[in-house]
Amino acid sequence: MRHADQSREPDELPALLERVSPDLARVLYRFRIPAQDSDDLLQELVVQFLENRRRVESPEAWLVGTFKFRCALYWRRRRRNLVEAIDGAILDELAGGSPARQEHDDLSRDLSRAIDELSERCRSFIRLRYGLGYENPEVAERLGYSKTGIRKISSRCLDALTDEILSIEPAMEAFENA
Amino acid sequence: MLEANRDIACTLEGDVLSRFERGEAPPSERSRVLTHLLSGCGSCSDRLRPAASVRKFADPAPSIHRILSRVAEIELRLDAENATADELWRDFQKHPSPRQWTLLNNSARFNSLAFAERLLEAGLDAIYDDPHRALELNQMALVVAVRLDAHQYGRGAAEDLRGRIWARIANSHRASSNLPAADSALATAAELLQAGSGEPLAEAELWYFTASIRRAQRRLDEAMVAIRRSRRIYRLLRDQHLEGRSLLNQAMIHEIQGDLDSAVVCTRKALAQIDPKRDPKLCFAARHAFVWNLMCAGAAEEAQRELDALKPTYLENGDRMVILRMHWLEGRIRRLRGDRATAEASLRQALDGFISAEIPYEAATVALDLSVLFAESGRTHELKPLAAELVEVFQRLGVAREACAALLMFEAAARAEAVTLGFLSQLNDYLGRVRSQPGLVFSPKD
Repeated sequence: MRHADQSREPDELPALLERVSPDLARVLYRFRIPAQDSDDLLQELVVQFLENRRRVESPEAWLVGTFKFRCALYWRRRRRNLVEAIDGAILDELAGGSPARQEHDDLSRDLSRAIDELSERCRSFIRLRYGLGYENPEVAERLGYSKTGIRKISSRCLDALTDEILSIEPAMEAFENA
Repeated sequence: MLEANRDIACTLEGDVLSRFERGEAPPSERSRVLTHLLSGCGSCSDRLRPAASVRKFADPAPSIHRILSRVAEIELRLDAENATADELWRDFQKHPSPRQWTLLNNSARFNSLAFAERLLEAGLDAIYDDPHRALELNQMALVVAVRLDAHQYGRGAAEDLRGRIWARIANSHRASSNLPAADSALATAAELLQAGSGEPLAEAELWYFTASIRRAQRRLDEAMVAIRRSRRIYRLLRDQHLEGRSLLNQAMIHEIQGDLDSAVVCTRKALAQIDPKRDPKLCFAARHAFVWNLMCAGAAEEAQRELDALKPTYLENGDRMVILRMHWLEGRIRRLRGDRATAEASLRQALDGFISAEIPYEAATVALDLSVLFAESGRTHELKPLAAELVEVFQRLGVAREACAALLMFEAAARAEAVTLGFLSQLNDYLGRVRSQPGLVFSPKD
């Protein structure tokens, strides 16, 4: 059995990258990758190509296809980091992170505003998670979901809550103070 | 006006928000950012939603020139690593297996991604003839992979490699009929690849092996979903050969589902896509499967023509098992064409070969084909010695108790001259299933 890549010229890489450059640009555009991160993503792609070259049948298709995968993964990971940060911050707060009573009340009120915008299912999930401090298995038991089901619901509801928090408009008094 | 006010209200330092976004902020900072976001800071919310806020897109051309200069050293290192791996591999293959383990365990010179790749390639090649050796080679690759310095390679490369190795281990277990071990290895592979770089060839191969394992477990709907996913990725990467391999797998799923027309269509397409230079054994397997599917679909004349064209390749291949399979196929085609005498001779050759090679399930399945031939010609008295011979072989080789019990039922029915074509078909179906479900009990319906 032979591996896919049999006929490689030693100076093939620059010419190959030159050829696929317009397609890579289109992927960057389509996935709306910020300029400051595109360099790193491209470099990781090229290193990955060099490591896997033996297995690659069509280098152009592999580079463009893999770049699409990596760009999708880039957003998925960024999104996950953000959702986890917001979830962690809420749990810290509810565990008594904010010393001042007034601040704590403000935060709870603002958080309730965001939660009120969610679906009934997510509101129930969030109330058990943040209101009663339940972990996922306990929420699953209480709401009658399976182990895998609760993972999906947890991820969807935390996603939705993050979206709500990011779309909060400032209250009028904030403008007046500013 | 509103935008300007929103900017004025923002009091958060930029690096605090960046740390928060990357999940690196300490609890006190996280709390500050949360309070800030809940106060409705539009500019920070927009920054955390970069997909919506990006205005300028990168042109990769200047980046590519910068990247080429940065990766030049990596390319040289990987080329040198490949050359060394080729040299090491040439020597390594000459040693017997115990010596190979000693070499691997005692020397760091094998610790490279390139050498692990050589082991994986050899493992995939061995899967056709010797799945136990394939498993061993994959386990050797794993020993190398866990010792690799992850920082020496690109981000996620070590996880990718280990994920691919576990997927190959899963496939070797499947080929050796150890389905519980295959399932567990497959789960490990999926977990590692999820943490990896998202390399699509690795993902496509994981789906391909998932389909093979689900097929062996007779979880055919899941197998079909998995094989379609693998095909889609191979098509995206324009790897026709590997898409052809997936098509062949799909054909086998259709065959088990009883959809023989789709099986023939898929095998025909697979044959057009599989590159014989890249994997001659796969190409041969595809041609054999094509003739087999034609025969199962009742296209006896076309199957005979294809078999005649393929015969020299069977003989060139020279492998005993392959030649036995050819006799078996030939016997079934001849039976289908009504040529009972030559069909019996071919099936006899296959049966004697499988018995002397101590391969019980194949022997039993060929014997059932022969039984059908006897039953069709009213020679039911010839079923008795055949059934007794099979029972003896199964008991001698220590085949699972339930399978032996099924053959004892066959023997009893043969003695009573009560074997029907329906009974033989049920027993045939049972023998196909019991290989992957050892505890399965044969309970024929009237």
